[in-house]
Amino acid sequence: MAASLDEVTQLVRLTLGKRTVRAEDRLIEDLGAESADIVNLAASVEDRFGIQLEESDLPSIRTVADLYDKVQARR
Amino acid sequence: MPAAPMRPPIAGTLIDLLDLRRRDTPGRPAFTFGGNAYTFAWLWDEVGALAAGLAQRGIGRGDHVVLVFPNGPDFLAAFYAVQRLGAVAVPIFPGSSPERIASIANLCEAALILLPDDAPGDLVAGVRQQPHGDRLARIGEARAVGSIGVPPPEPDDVAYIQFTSGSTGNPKGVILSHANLLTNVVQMIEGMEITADDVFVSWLPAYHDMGLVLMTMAPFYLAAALHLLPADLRSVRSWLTALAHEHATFTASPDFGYRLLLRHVRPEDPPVLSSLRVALNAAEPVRTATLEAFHATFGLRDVMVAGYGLAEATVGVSMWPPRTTNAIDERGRVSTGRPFPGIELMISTGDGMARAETEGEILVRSPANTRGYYNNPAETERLFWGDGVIRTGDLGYLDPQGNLTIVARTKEIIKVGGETVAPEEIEEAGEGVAGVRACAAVGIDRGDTAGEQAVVFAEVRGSALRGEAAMEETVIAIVDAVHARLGLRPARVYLVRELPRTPNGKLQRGPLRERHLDGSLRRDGGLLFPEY
Repeated sequence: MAASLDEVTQLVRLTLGKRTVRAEDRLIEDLGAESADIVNLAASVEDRFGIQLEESDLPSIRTVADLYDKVQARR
Repeated sequence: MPAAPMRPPIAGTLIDLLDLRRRDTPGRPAFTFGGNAYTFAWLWDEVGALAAGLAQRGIGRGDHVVLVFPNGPDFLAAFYAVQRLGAVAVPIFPGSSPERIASIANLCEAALILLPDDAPGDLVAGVRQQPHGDRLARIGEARAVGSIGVPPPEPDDVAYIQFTSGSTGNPKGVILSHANLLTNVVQMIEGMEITADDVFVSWLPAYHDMGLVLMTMAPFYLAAALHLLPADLRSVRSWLTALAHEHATFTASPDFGYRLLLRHVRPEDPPVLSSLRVALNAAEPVRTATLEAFHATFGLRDVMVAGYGLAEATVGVSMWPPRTTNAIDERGRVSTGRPFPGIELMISTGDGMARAETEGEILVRSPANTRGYYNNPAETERLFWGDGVIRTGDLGYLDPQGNLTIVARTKEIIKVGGETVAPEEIEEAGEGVAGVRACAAVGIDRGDTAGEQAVVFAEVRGSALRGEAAMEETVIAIVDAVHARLGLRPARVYLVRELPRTPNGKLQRGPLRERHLDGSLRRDGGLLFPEY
């Protein structure tokens, strides 16, 4: 399933409960995500886009744009 | 803390009690219903006629009779007629499907299924088509003149079986004797300080434990006034009207009933509940917001108090003392007070008994405890922690004074990232969001590194449903509210059309979880947002 940046940012908004999310926002520092939230985000993108992320993907996901890139890479 | 002493009951069986009432207070109404008063003398005669008829049909000691009645005189007459024969009443929700009625009848090996005269024809036909469906009678056909010819029951005879649906959906039949029932009635009367001057108003189902044992047997025991209403969630205003009109002093409901009541209060309603002494809030987690809103709306103080109980201990176990300010802990959990006289509470950590302020599984020692589940030795063995002591399956702690606070239902607790969260805490936070009618939180184990996740299902209405932007805003607001209160975010929030509930209105998290996991919730169009 094609993933757009808009769809990924919406998913971040819904998971973190934030009304405004930009591509360059850092998940932890800017958006207040905790490690459990990152795991939940990963699970949600997997369900949403029908992909499988690797555990090794998670540490390199710092920003919303990083998450989008990983989704593209794993499609 | 050992149990406080209790007085023995004034009667050994429910029939001894009814006999005492019709001799001492024959002309006093046992209850009113639909504007009519039904005296103890009337009830005794009606019970005699029905018992004679049932005896002619071969019903006798130990036989199980399924009662499918709404609140009203027919139900109470049928219930006590079954008692008169030493038979066992199995009351069930009157809106049950033919399949459900037959399944309960089958589970308890019923000798007879008794229905009201105005039971719908298709229901009667539906039951008749089921296996054993021929063992069916309408109450009008069951009356007879003549002698009963069967001795009355003994205190240790089984009086009724309370089927509990439980969150897993497998009904278990809790066996309760005459002695269990009368003991718990005395425990509650003493613990709740109920007197013959109390005026009961009940809109609870009389075919279910709190509505039957507390709200009809306790007033019968004292010959206190009882105004019985139809148990109908759609007519919550009739409850409010009766509370005011009858100058009620005592009423009871689960928390959701009071929330429903408060939603239906109109600005022009006068605050006329000044006679109310106790509004027991039990059978569900008690919310501080409900306590506050109830008192604020009706200009009352210390009237709504929290209670705790379970069918396996007959019904009532503890309640916060009337007319005192209900304690609330720092996490907003409302204390359910000291156990009633004759009841001892213990908290098990698994290794031993917990000290005060330490959480563990609540254990109950009481002479009102059930002897077990009907025809279910495996669940009965699981129920008993030791001789005379049952496991409740609920998590809680005792304060140094012995007051009980419920933390969660053990089997519904959610474990996220090494922390335990009660679903009710998440739900209460989510329900503060505009447009959210109710929430259900369940733990879902993804079986991978994500472990168990807290998933929230929110039943929404009105503008929260208008377009994707509105639905997104509702989800964000729920995540934000849960995070603000508990410091954690749910893994996912789904907006749903309707949450599954029992006929009594109790949320069913287990079935919801199953329907989500097997995909049927989405297939049936139950999931509105988001689409993943």
